[in-house]
Amino acid sequence: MSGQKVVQASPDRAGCAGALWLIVKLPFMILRVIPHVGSILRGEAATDSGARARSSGEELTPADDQAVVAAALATLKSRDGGFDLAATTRGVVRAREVVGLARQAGDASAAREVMSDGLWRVFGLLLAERAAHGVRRQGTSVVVGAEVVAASRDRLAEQLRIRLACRGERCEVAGVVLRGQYGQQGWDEDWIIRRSADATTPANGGVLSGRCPQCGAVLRIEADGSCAYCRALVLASGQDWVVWSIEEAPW
Amino acid sequence: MVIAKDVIAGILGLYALAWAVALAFMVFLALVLVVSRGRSDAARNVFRRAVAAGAPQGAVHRAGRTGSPADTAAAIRDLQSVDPGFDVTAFLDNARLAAGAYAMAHSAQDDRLLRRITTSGYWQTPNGKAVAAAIAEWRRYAGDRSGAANRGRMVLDISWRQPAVKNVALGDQGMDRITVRLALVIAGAAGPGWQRTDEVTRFDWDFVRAADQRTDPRAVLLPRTCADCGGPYHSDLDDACLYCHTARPDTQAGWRLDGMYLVVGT
Repeated sequence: MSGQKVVQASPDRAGCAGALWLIVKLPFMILRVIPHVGSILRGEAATDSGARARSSGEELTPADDQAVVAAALATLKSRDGGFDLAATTRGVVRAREVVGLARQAGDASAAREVMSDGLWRVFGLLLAERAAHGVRRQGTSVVVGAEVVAASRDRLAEQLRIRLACRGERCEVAGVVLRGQYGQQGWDEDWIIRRSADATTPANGGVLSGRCPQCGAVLRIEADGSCAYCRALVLASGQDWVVWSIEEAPW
Repeated sequence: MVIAKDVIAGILGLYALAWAVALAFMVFLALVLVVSRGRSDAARNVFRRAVAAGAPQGAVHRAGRTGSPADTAAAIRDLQSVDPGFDVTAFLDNARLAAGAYAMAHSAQDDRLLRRITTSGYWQTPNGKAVAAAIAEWRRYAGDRSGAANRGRMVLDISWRQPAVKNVALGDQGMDRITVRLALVIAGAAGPGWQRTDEVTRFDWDFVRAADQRTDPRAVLLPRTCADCGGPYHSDLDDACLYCHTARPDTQAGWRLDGMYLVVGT
């Protein structure tokens, strides 16, 4: 019995002693930070945080002038007669569905077939990090509108920024709601697709349509980013459009 | 007895001094936060200018200080004339991975991937040292608890804005060097209570490789299995085979992160 009392009392005493010890060493813990004050100040100077970050840095890039976009699309079409904006947009909407399913399943491999190599690797890191914390994305949404808000071409690459107007529910939770909210809402997402300046639209539709731009087979991607049938590197953007970046307005 | 009293008084005096300095430092940091995160853009700009002026060499770049686009395009053409496999899109795609690796090190204290894609020189730069110090501090705090990553912070999203090649220097001291400027967006949350900790930081990233190195187009591919024993890697963060412990090969087509500069708008 007395042994039980000792066992019950010791955590309290240890907790009390621990708190006292923490108070005693607290100033020294703070003093340890002083040598790093330079990097703290530099980080503060270069970083927008919290509400400032959301209101400036995370906002979607303003749309280019419509005439400029139309001219760029006309140039693109004149060089690549097979380019079909409606089909490309449908492909981006399909890619969004693929990525959304991968995100909800926590399985990055499901999104391998539409993302560029680097984007997919960062996506994989993120999903692993989120799984470690039990973060889940809830809700479903649909695309109710799409518009090309920027189109550019240089000697090396072509790039389209397609703004998707989405409607539905989105919410990320890990015990508590981390971001988003329950209930129907609307928001915009920018999906940026990119391809080599030399690439032309494949007859079968290509990556965004779920086809290998090289051999035309139904797209099945190996983990190394190559077509399972012809081994062509189809996600390095050398041959066809791939999803190059996904930007969401702050939420 | 008198000596013992003096010693005790001296220790208490030093302890009181430590508290005084610590409190003064906390007040200073609070003032910095008020100025830096307050509503006044004018005060924030003064703060930025002061920090940029006082920063050590190699820590900060001022916004706008980059090479001309024409010079950059010409240098890329020069690079492609000797290295036809070099592709700017693939290069930027790999730069994105460096940004993701940095975000994981900075926000989740997990530097395994960052260690694989950086030069040893990176860790001698002011910003490399700052990352290493933050992770070392976390590990000291975490002790021998299981898991290398900080479970008190989480990364919800990593993205970038306006990535662009800003400078290309070929054959400088036997190295090719490409500088990429981008704004790194990290949406995160921190416990307790999982408050949002979103950050947007502008960086210049220096990537280097030996001047005589050429791009192997297949080198951008990510090996998912160990070349020695065939064992699978479970994550991009794995830096060695879990089975035979062979080091994982480089997947950056020879380019490694050599330096990182905070870009301060002044």
